[in-house]
Order: sequence, then structure tokens, then C-alpha cells
Amino acid sequence: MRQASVTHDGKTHTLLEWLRDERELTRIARPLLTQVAERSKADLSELLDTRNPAALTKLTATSQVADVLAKYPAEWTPEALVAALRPVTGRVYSIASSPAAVGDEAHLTVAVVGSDTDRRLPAGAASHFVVNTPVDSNVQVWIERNERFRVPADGARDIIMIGPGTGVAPFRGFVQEREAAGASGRNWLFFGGRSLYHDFLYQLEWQQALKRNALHRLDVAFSRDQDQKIYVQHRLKEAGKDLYAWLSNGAYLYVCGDATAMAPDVHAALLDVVREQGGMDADDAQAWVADLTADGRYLRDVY
Amino acid sequence: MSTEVLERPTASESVLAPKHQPESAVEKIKKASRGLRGTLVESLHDPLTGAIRESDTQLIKFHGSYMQDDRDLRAEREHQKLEPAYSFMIRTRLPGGVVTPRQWLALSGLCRTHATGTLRMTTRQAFQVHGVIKKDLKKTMQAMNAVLIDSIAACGDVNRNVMASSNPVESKLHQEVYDWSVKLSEHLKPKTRAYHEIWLDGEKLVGPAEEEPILGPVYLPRKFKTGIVVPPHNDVDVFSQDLGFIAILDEEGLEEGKLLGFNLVVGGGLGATHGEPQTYPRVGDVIGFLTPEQTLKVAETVVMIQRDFGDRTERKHARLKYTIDDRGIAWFKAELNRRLGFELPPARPYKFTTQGDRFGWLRGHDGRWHLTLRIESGRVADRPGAMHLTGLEKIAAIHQGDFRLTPNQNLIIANVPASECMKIDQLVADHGLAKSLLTSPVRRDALACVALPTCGLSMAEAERYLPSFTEKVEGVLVKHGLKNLPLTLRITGCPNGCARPYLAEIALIGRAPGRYTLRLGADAIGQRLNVIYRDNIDENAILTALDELIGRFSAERQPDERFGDFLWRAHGAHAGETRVSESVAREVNGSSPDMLADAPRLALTPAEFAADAAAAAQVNEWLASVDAETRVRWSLANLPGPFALSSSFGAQAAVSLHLVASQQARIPVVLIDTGYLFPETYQFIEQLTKKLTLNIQRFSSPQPVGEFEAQYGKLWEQGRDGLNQYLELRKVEPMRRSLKSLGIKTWFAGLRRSQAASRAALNPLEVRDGRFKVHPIFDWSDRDVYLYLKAHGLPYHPLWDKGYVSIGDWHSTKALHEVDSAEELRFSGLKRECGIHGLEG
Repeated sequence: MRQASVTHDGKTHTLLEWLRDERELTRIARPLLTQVAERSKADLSELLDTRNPAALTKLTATSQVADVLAKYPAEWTPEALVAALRPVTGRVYSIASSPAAVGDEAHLTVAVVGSDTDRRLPAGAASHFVVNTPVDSNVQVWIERNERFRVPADGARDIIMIGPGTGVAPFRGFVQEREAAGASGRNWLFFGGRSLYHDFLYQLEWQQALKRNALHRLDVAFSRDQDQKIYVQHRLKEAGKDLYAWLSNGAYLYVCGDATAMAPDVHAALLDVVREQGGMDADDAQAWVADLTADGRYLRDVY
Repeated sequence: MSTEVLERPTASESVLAPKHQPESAVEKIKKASRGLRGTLVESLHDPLTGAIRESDTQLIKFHGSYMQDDRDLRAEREHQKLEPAYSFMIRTRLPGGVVTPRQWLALSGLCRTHATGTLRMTTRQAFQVHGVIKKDLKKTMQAMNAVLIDSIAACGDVNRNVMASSNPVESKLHQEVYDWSVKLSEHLKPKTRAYHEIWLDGEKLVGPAEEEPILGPVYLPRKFKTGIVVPPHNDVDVFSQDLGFIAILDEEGLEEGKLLGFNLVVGGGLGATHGEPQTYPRVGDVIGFLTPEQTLKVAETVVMIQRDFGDRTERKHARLKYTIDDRGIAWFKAELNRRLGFELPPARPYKFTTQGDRFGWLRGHDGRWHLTLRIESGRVADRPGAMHLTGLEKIAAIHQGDFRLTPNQNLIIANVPASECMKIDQLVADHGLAKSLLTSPVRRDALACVALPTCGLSMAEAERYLPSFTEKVEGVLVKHGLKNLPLTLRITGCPNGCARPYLAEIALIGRAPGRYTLRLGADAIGQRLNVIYRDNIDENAILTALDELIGRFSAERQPDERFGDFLWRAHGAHAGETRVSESVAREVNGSSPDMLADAPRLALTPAEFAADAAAAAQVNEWLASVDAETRVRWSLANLPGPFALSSSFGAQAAVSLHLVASQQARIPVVLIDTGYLFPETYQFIEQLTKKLTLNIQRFSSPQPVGEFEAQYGKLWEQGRDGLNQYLELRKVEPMRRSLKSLGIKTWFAGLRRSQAASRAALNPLEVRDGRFKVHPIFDWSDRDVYLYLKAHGLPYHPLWDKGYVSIGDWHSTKALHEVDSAEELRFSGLKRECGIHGLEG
């Protein structure tokens, strides 16, 4: 069956090639579910309810295409299956280095989702691809330029970077870039993870950067290192006075990482800080932050 | 090299410690510490590291803790851009080693929650917990303090835990002696409130640090040890103490006698440094007698003389023993008498008959009962069949008396009313606590320090090596008909002397992985040091020497003569001394007595190693002389990482997996999945992964089996060429790819010479494909494998029991009963090789 020849959209491959190279297998999409419902006669109306996407969101977070096909068995022809699946798309990573520091290289910060020994999460398509690709292999990449999420043109400006987990990636590049350029502005990083012991990405590099004065302040939040969970937004509030002073003084604020929980929480913390430190009411704080955004000094790269 | 180092006097000149030398770095840290506070609070609050500042690592010792790191994980974490896995050891101050059941339960509980789940009883009657990470340090100290146990001055340049004869059996005197150990400990303790301030949130000091009337503002030049002993049992090894007290009774004797006073012992000390003959162990001098009322005054005066005259420039020369030897014992006595304002009368007669503990139940003078349990190396842990930690918790929960730690790492369940003995006996039996009581005397009395993996000073195994080495010594004794010979055996991982090795009849002092200095000939009462018999030798050489000497001892000994005394009588003056002086001469000349000491340090790249046959042979010769565990440990320490282990998950795979993964957890285990593995192999992989928490890295040919067979047919059935092509496509290519993509620099594999003719010339260390390849069990027989699997409770492959002895792909593996000769077991006799180990660039 895997060698069956399938023609779709004018292209012909074996089924194996379609599935391995051409089709999205880790992300479940609505058209597939519609097909699954029709073919298996299962009642998937809750999942397909466009007014209430929560069920679908939950399913996509914990299952992959194969899980759905196994859960709702049905007759599929190779052609029908290929047609029901979306074309595979590339995955986008922030570059975690500056050419000024690493030359002809680009470093990535990749969390390997669903490792061999820990199968609680489904395997990530790109992270596993990266891990299992031999050193010195050629892989297809493209550069997606992000003209907005960059270090300030004016090196004298201070920057505040909020990047828990792999969200720290661009900021490693930022710090490298600003050091190489001899930027006079200060660099302040907020980092977070589960535990200091296991999850402190680039720990040794940050420690050395602090000693060299390439990084001026580093606030960390390790959520599982104490009874109550502490995240970057808590550190943000604790540092509210300095944060507000830096921003009032023209600093740029960058946020990178998780879009679902972290970015909104950080945003709310920012509003709180502005309200408290600026002695404003909620509306004024909103306006202050809106101005910051309009000014191009509150930049987010969240996913 | 800085000029300061060049201008320093040579070691032999430094013996007199001229005053113009710069004080040592630690002196500067102590001086600037504001009563041992330093920047410990800031260090503890630094959220960016699990470590504390370097100067604070010196000061925290005075608070009873050492910063350590897991030496097995260093390279791996550096690769991950993470700092070393820092943690802390905490040692309690516990004068005389007495704890209540409530205290026992608290310590046992906190070792489960904040430490490694084991309690360790030290040779100074204290507890140690290991592996406490920085964020839990304060909590752990507070939990100890909640049951009135502190760790003040348990380490550092101060008077350490005060020891006292532990066995309360004989007389009321023991309580009196114990009380003195507490009083001495309190009296000589630092007066700074730094401990309370830092760990217990005590009030912050404002202004200058507290006065230290006895220790002085910079504390002592080096550690200082005090112990009290009640003859005739020298369990505290009183002559190893800087300051010792020998209890002297009136003529009523031990049963009813009263304490008249103490003989004073000064200048004992056991630490030394390999290759530096100006450092040495020394037994203390007995210099006079004092009455009980004079105890504290005399003790503080001895401490203050050492404070004022001890060497503060060279820490290896800073103990009281050197102060006394540099100036003479007559000077010391005169200085002591001058400061006391009176002359100490001559010492009274005393006699020691033993050094070790007395095991089992003993009835005390007041009718209460005391059970001394043997706890090997003092390590209270839960192990299968020996749930000591749990068992002692259950005993503590019902025990009405107290617990006493002995100076020999054992435990006394003390002051048990007769009515309670049966209950305790039952719990002891239920938790395997009595097993060690039934072993040979040599095993019962043996001591070992902690050493690897937690101690940063150790050069060789001690605690983990003691059981297997003792077993071998038992074998020698049995061979010569001396199975029940009392014999003291002590092993340390370095020459600092924690397990008091210099006072044992047989001592092994770690030199390098698998290599020790063998010292022999101490008496068994702690009054005569042993001497170096052979330096820097491996287990085989040690056992050969012991076999020869014990053989002669068996033939020539006088009735009841001890082994150490025999050596001294028959050989000591002659052979022993010659050997000592030879060894010392070699050390002074700076040339190592044995090239093998240098072999373990490998500075060659794989290419250089491959090109330099002589160097390669030398290293391989050394590796061949040590055990498999040592080979792995040496490789992890000396060869470049990242490391990986390949496994076929064949019949005996568990050996290599256990051997390597137990020394480097999370080491990548490369599994080449040909697509043709037995279903049982997948089960086996799952079973072992769970049991050993393996980090499996699975690699396969990119071509699925169906496609592969469609293209090539059944290659393995197509003669030697087909088979080779099969191996290249399904095994060699994925293997090569795995090593490359994981960036592996050193590759462990479980090949053995006895597996196939093609492996007969296998070396422990080879270079393959530009990488180091290590074969830790290259010389093992099938029986060795069997014994290892059995000893560690490891499974064979599920097919083993069905007659398969060599298990690879299902299409090319046969059960023993399916073939005529063993040659045919794999690949129908064409190869008895799995295929990937010939791998070349």
C-alpha cells in the first residue's frame, strides 16, 4: 500500500512519499475532520462547531493526524487520504545568533517535542527532523525577514527583552549583535523555564555576558523551583519601578515566545506596572502602552 | 606561571614556615569575612546559579557544608551550556554522636525530601546528607535545627565535632564522658552568630563582628579535631586527634570507678599528600594528666597555642602536628605550662586492647540493653533486601532510648528496656539490619570514606569498592585457614585520612582510578601507624602481596598474634622500612614510582593515538589491568565527549548498558533498528529503558523494509557479498550517521574477545572512524557476564531462555538447537559479527 502510486494536483508520488514529504501529519485541520466524520459516521459535530473552537483546539494540542485516523476508523483510498490532508508547511524559528558574532552560521534554539523516551506529547515534525538529520546534511531553509523585530537603530537606547523558554532565541542574537556593534545602551533580559537545574537555556553564556557587561541585568523565573509557580510576568511586576523608569527613558521592549498564555500575561503585567508606577488609571495606562506600541518600542514575536 | 609561585620556597624549606611568607588565600577570606558571614546571603539569593561565590565556598564549610558537583555530569552539562550540577553536603555537629529517636526521624525524613535519600554516618560520629541543592539548603538547615541539631563548625578551620567513646555499656562513666564532649564542643565553638543569622533568619549584626576569645578573628590555621576515649576500647582512635583525652579512673575500675581526670594527648593527625614527604600522618603525644575541672582550660589553651603558632602560609603544613614537630614537644609542653600557670603532672598508666566496635546486644551497667548494628561504610540507605533507612525509621518510631553513632560508622540502638528488645529484634530482622553481623570479622570492622562520586578530593573509589575488595580479602583469609581472623581494613579515596587508614593493619589509599597505596602493619589498638608497603598498585598486585604475607603469617604467627603485629615483628624493621624509604626516595626525586600513574592521563587525539603504537599499547595495558567500571570511569574522565554507547539489545546487552549508564546517566544509547528486530527485542528495549532510564537514540536506514526488499530482494540470503551489502545499508550507514549527527567523539561498545574469532585481538581502547572506541568488557567471559547480570539483578534478552545466545535480526539468528555448531548462530556462519564494528571512515 505504501508503494501505491497516487496522483493529486497533477503530481505523482508513491503514497509513502506523499505522506513523508508532502503532507502535514502533525497538525489536524478542519477539512480532514469533516472527511473523517463523513467516512467513519462518527459524530464529530462538537469538534467541527465553528462557534466553539475549544474542543478542536484541545484535540490539536494533544493529537496528530494518525491519532485521529486510528480513533475513527474508516475506508480511505490513497487518493482520498492525500486529498484530505493539507500540504506540509515549513516551520519558522527565530535565529538565535548574530552574524557579527558567529560569522557564517545561524544558530537555532529548538525544543525537541515528544522525545523517544517521553511520548506524552506527540512528536514535533520539524524538531524531530532537525534532531534526526545528520550533521553536515543539506536541508531546505528560507529566511523570513522580520523588519520590525530588530535591535534599535540607535545603539544608545536601552532594551528590555522578555523571552522565556525558546522565546529567548532572538535575544541571544540581540545581545551578540549589540556587543559586537559596541552599542552603549543597556540590555535587560527576562528569562523563564521550569527549573534552574535543567532548563536555563544558555546559562553559561548569560553568566559570562553579565561578567563582560554585554548583558546588564537578567531576571529569571523558574516555575517549578518553589511551591507557588513563578513566571516572567511576576518578575516583571517585581521589577516594576525599574521597568517603568527604563521605558520612560526611551527603552525598547521586546516579547518573544508563547502567544497563548505568556504574551497576554506579560501584557497585563505591563499594564499593571504602568498604572502603578505612572500613577494612572486603567484607561491612561492603556493609552500609554498604545503610545509605546505606536512609537515602535513595544515589539512582539509570539507564536 | 607567576613570579610569586616561582619565588616560593621549596617544600622542604617550608617546614619551618618562615613568617615573611604571604598568608594563604583562605586566611584572607576568613579575615575579610566579618565573623564567617562573607557574602553567603548574597550567594544564596543569586537566582542565576546553583553555586555560591568562590570565597563563600570556603566560608560555608564553617557552617558545616561543602559545595560539590556531580563529577559524572560535568562534561555533558558543559555541552548543554549549563553550569555543573552543583549541590551541597551538610555535616552535623553531634558531640559524642548521640541522637534521640525524634532527631533520627527528622534527619531521615529530610534526607528523603531534600537530599539523596541516604543518611551517612561519619567516622567522627556525625551525619552527612548529600546532594542538597542551593534552594533547599536553608530549608534543610532549618529542618535540622527544628530538632536541635546544628552544623556549626562541622567543617572548616575550627574545632570539629568532638568525639567520645560511644559504648555506654560499662559504666556510669560514659554519660560523664559524653557530657564532657558536649561541653568541649560548646566551649570551643565559634562565637559568631553568623550561622543563626544566615540560616535561621536571626537578627542581623550591626557593627563589627563578635569577639572570638579562643579561636581569634581569623579562626584556626586548619581543621582541629578533639576526642575523648575510655580505655580499654580505643574506638575514637584518640591518637589521631589534634587534642585527645584518655579517661583515667580510680582503682575501682570500669564498673564502679569514678573519673579522676584525663591524660592529655596532643598532635595527632592523619592527613598527608601523595608525593610530598614533608606531609605525613602522626600519632599524638601523651604529655600529662589533668583533673576534670581543668579540662576546658587546658583544651582552650592547646587551641590557642595552635591559633598563635600554626602555619598560616601553607595549608598542607598547618595542623597542630607540624607546629609541634617544627618546634619540638618540649617547647609545646613549656608553652602550655607557661600559659596555664601550672605544670601538668605526668600521665597516668592506661591500656588499650581494641579499636573496633562490639556488635550485637550487650547489657549495660544499669540493666538496659544496647544493640550495636554494623552499617557498612555508615551508609544508611534503602536497598532491595536491606531497607535500612525505612527499618531504622520504624525502630525510631517505637524506641524509648536513644541512638549512638560509633566512630567506626556503626550504630548503637541504646538504652533499650529488656521488655522492648524483642520488638526491636523483629524490626531489625525484617529490614535486613542484622545481616552484616554474621559476616567475617574483617568485613565487620572495615571502614571506607565517601569518595566517588560526591567527594571532590577523591582519586579512587572507596565506599563503593569496599564490599568487593573485602570479599577478595576474605578469599585470601579462607585460603590460609584464617576465616575468622580479626583484621582491620580501611580504604580511602585520597590521602586526607577520613576513614583513619593510617591506623589500620591493612589500608588502601587512593592514588588514581583502580590504584592505591598499600600500607600495612598498624597495631589493632590505634597506637602505631602503618607504613607504605607498595605504592600505586592495582588490585591484582595488592592481593598478590596480601596472599604472600598472610600465607607467611598463617605459618609463622604466634598464638593470638595480630597480622599487623606479626608484620612488624617479622618484617617491619627490615623489609618494611626499606620499602618505605625507597618509596619516599622516589617521591622526593619527583619521579613517579610507576609509569602507570601517568598512563591514565591521556592527552592524545584519536589520530595521534592511532599513530603512536607505543602510547596506545601503554594505555591499553593499563586499561587491561583495571576492572570494567574503572575503564568506563577513566574513559569518561580522559577521553573527549560527547559520549555514546551502542547497543544491539542482544542477549547480554544489559551489562554494558548498566555499566556505562550507571556512571553517566542520560548517555545517548544508539540503537540501530534494521527493521528486522525480533518483537521480543522491542519488549526488551522497553524493559531496559524503564529499568535503567536510558536515553535511547534510534537510527534506521531511510528505506522502509518493504521498499528495501523490493529493490534488493533478501540480501542476507545472497552469500557473503549480499550479506555485506545488507550490513552496509541496514546497519553501518545508520550507525555512521548516528555518530556523526550526535557529534560523538567517544563510542562505548560491549564487544568481547570471546564472542568471535574476529574479536580475539580486540583492545580496550581503539580508534575507529576518527573516534575513540572503548570496549569496557573486552576481556569478559560469558561467566563474567552472567555474574554481573546476576549481581545487579539485570535481565537477559527474553529469547535467551528459548535457546538463543546471540540475537540480531530475526532472519539471520537461530536458536542453539537449530544449528550444528556455534559458528552458525548468526548469518548462517558467514559472520559471527553484528556488522557495524568494523566501521571505518
